[in-house]
Amino acid sequence: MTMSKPVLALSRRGAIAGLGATGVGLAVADRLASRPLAGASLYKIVYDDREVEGRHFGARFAAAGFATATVGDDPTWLWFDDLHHHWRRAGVAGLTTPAVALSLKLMAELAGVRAVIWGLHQIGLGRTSHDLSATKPALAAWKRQADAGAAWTEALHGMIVAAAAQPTAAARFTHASGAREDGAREMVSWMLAPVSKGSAGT
Amino acid sequence: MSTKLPPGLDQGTFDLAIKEMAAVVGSEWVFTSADDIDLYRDPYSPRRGQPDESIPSGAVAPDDLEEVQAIMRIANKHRVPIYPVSTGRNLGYGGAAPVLSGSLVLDLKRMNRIIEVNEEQAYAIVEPGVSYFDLYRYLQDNKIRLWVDFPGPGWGSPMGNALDRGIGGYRYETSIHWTQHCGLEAVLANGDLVRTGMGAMPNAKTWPVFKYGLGPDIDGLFSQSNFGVVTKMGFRMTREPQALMSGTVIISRHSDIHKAIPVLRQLIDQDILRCAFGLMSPAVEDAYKLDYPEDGPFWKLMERTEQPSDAEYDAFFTAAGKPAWTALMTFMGVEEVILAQWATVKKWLGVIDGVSFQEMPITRFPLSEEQRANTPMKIWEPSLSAFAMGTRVQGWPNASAGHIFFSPIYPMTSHDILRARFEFTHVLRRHKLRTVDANMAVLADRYGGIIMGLRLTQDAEENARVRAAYLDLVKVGAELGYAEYRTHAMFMDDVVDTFSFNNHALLRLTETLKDAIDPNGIISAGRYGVWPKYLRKS
Repeated sequence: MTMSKPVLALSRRGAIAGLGATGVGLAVADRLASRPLAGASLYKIVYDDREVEGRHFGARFAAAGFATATVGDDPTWLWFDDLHHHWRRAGVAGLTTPAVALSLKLMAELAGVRAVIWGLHQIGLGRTSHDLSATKPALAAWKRQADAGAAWTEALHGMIVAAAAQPTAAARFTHASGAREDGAREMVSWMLAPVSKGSAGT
Repeated sequence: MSTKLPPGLDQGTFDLAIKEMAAVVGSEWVFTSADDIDLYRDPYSPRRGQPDESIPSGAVAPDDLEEVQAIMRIANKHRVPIYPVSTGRNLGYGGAAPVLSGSLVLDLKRMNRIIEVNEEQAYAIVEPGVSYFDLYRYLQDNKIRLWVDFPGPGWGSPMGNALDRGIGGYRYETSIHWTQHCGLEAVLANGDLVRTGMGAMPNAKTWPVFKYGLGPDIDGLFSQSNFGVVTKMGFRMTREPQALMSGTVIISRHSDIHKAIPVLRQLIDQDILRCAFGLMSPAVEDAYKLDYPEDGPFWKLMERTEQPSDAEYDAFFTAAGKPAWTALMTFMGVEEVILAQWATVKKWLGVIDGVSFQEMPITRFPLSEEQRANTPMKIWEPSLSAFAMGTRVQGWPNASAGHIFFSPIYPMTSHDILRARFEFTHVLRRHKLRTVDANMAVLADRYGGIIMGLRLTQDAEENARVRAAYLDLVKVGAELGYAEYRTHAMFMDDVVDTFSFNNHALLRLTETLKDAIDPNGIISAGRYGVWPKYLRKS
């Protein structure tokens, strides 16, 4: 299986903001509530190594010197034994199944940690569409790489690094998405980071 | 600054209370910003973003009992309504969002101490912030051969689930987790501390082993209620069995349910069948799939104004070419005994024409590390993978934005199982909704029930239809005599209103108690329909 380059799909639900006619689906209307991102660093990258896109994503971050971990359908003990001890101090990002992404997002929110990137990637046979929620700088980083013809997992790398480096973060996410295209696989990219005061401890 | 104040409280008084609470717990554990409050909104609220969404005024997170007492005294002095939550989010029943908008969430997640686990006596004493994961890991790390009976996914609190009378599932007699509790400690509205059961005797050796103590049994006042903040609970645990196996009963003809249910009740009464188990129809499951036509035969049956006859159901299931019913059962205990139990199930139900059986290999305990790693279905181990139900499902074209549970209980008779499935599905069809769970009857002890997850979307209009359907379900359930065993925070008044015997005598009694125990009405106003006097409707 080969990875397709980013195809920018108009979101069914998102307001179009910041990227003009290219139209990555964004939902930023009230999601740019700003707070200092407490710790502009990434603790770990989590990826689904059963999917080629996941492996590319993980390899890209590993090559850049980030710690990585693999996950399949069940993130339970990765979360319990590792991530939740750290994500109140530094971000965690990943490219996984939607169910794994949702599980980790809910557990993060319980600890006061928020989703600052949430992207649904529908991977069809000849076309991949993306529905992204993130900060404007992070989305701009995505667009730059997409416009340059980079593979979408490379664009994700740029977006996550940009989100980690910026002192603001998006907020108020939901996990709903548009309808699935026939036969498309779905993956979710995400970044969870200590945005609110509730992440100060426990 | 909080964006939502408690009703009747001015900003100055609220700010003063918050300042005093911050002095108790530290300012880092008091949350009043919009970003922080957002984490305590119900992510699955059917009124998310609507003007009537319940939003807390803030949250405060104490670390220990003394801090809880101090906060209660401050709240009582300033009449700040507080809403205690443990850990996990009880999604589908309202999350951490208070019944009364503007209440201050008392977040007990930091109180996560496992006070004691006694393997010999098979009990634990825990604080409210202890999750099923915490307890499971503690047992594993200390090689304690006890099991935690948990509801998926396990992020919740054994104490919180018990207090809300949530369910688990190893054995039917303990599947309502409240039955596993054994003595508790609670802080009252004025900060006073009480222990119930044998725990009321200082140095009692029997707190977690004998439920009733002496005198009036008042533990129930703290369950599905608002009479105190429970800070410790004794908990009976399940001893790891010698063996476990599952078997499925397959009943080919629909109308044979009338023969099968009396046999299943006998199996329960004779201590052969000890688990709660699910009864479902595979052909009905197909009707919830995307490719099933809207005018397909199942929906035509459900849109009728009267319950279809057995002959009509038989014709539908015969045409579908799938068994009419399947029941998955679990047996645990001594190997010779569970094999005899399964053999008895097969013998007694096998007299019905067309009934067949499937069984899973037996699992023997203790497991080696290798066996543990390679066992696919670990019913004894909590797992986040249960959250998968919150993502896209086969029966729903768009990813769910959440769900709300409707959970009615009815007698375990074939008539009631069929009546409940038809009537509730009929309501959902009338509102143009589908929910897979209406197909699954959970049977235990002497009752059956359905836990229906009504799926929510991002569309406010569609969610309004879900709300309307929910109210209809409550109404139809009451007409049939089927009440919910627990309910979503948003609908507590509506459901409690159906418990109306003798001009709502039960509610009037609990209101009398509320006024005596919490006269300022600061604890969980409106929870399960019990409102403080100052907010009570005439």
